[in-house]
Amino acid sequence: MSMTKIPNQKISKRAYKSGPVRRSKRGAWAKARMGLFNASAIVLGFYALFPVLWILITSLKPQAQLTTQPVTLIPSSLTLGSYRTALGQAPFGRYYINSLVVSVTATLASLILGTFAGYAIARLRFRFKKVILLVILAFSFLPPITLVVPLFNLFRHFNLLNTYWALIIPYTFLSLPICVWLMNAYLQDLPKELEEAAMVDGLGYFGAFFKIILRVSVPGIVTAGLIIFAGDWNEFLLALTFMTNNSMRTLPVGIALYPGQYTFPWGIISAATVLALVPVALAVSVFQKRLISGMTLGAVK
Amino acid sequence: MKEITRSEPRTLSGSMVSSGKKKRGKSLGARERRFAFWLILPTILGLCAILLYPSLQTITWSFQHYILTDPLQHNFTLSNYTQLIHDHVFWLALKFTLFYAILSVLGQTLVGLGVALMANREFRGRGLFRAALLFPWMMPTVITAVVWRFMYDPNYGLFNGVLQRLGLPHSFVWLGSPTLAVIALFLVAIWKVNSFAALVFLAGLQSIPASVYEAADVDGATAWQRFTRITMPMLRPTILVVLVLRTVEALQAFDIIYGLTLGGPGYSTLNLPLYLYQQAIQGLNFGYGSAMGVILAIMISAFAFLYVKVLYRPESLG
Repeated sequence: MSMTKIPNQKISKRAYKSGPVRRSKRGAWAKARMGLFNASAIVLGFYALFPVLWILITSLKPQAQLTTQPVTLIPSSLTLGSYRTALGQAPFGRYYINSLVVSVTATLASLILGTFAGYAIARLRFRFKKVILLVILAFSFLPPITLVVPLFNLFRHFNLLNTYWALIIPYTFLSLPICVWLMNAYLQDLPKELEEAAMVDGLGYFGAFFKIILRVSVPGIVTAGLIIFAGDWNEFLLALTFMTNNSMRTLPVGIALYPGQYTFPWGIISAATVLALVPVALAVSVFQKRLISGMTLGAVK
Repeated sequence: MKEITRSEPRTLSGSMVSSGKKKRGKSLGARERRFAFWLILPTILGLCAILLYPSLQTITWSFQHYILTDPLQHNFTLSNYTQLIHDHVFWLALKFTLFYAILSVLGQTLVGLGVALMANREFRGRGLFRAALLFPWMMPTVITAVVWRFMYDPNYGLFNGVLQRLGLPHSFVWLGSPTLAVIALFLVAIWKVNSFAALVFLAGLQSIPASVYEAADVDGATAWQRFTRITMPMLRPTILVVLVLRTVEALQAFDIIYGLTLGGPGYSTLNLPLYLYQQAIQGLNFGYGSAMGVILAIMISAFAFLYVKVLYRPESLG
């Protein structure tokens, strides 16, 4: 609080010195700058969103307006026909389920393991904590592309290719380092008295963790879960390599490989893309602040 | 009482408490360590089995003749590496990997920095603006690439269509010529990531205390001086992290190229990860792919090391 008060005083002092004439000039300048600023904010916002808007428009276009020249920017009527085809005739419904099963399971597994390890590192006392945390974090720098070949071989050996396990297992462990890091950062900031209160209540370490810590760390778990889920939902390389059966493909792979290299059925693909973006849009609109804080926690700290 | 038993191993007061309490404290500490051990064990075991062991396997295979259709030969050989040296596609891919990583990360960082500096103030609709920035980053990369490929379509694409409506030249085959394809790829790469950089930089900018700027104002600093003397030095650690993270990712770029150009036309946008994939997974030459993987991993570590050396200055962190 005091931090914000001191600068205010300084500003008012300066304004007093500069006098009324300069102040009004500055006001006009500030107004112009504000206008320019608002305009560029709108332009930048549009720049970030125009491909999505374009896909949304395309997915709702009637078939005949998909292939006009020049392109129809604003369709004269809207239809859900492309969505019906994408979910009915094309296998995008199946891809959707595959993506959900894999991402949800892997995220949960990652969260369980990551919360355990993150808790131990953040709040329990033992030697070589820092080293263990750094070693775990170092794993996140292992390039997945170098893992593709050996993991492909491993899963082939155990007949796991084209099963959900082939993605759940690597996704769980690829996002685990980040999960440990995020949970460690979150749990560190909780008051130290939590465990002590639990001890007084006779709960022991096990009870303190399961009955108290897990409950108060729900916000941290949600943030980590969102970031991990987004990563799993978007993953392409392993999904492309380990799922060679059409019926086992995940949504990104299904969209990228949908047949028709030259005469693309863009209406259907756009509809599938919009459906794939629904979880993303939901996460962004509901958990915007959490996502940003979690994302920057990894980068700024 | 609790306090005393807890600090026992390290402080003087610990030696003064009675032996009975000491015993209890020790067993508590041992129990705590055991609990920590069991909590961390699954993570370490899993990471070793699923990430570390395969990585080591990659190194081994890079020194073996290992083609899936032939029986594995265990004897040590450098043939994969000598073959790489004589493979001109490998050199093209290597060059493009570096070119792509450096230029795309530079573009992403500069555009991101510009956006962050602009958005670093309170304004109406700021939440909406940040949500808009989040969107490109949250979109699946391969889907981003497919969407842009659609917009680049010479006949039915958005770009040529808009150019035509504006009465400008509009017959670009965006992904058909090497130069245009490279430019098209960079536009997608910058669009996809600059907002991530911007959001991270924004968080970094907001962690600079306002009082520092106020003090500079009192001293009569110009806007340029404030930027070069305060903003940039204080933002240096954040920029470093973004550069390292993004370069590591850009060296491994796969989805974006697969979805947009598949490395074409010709080899003009082929990078190492894509070539590795073609050779190892499509061509089933595990040894050859592994050798490329090792080279890629070395490049990634070298870049991370270089950035940290150049940009990391401990005094600017405080």
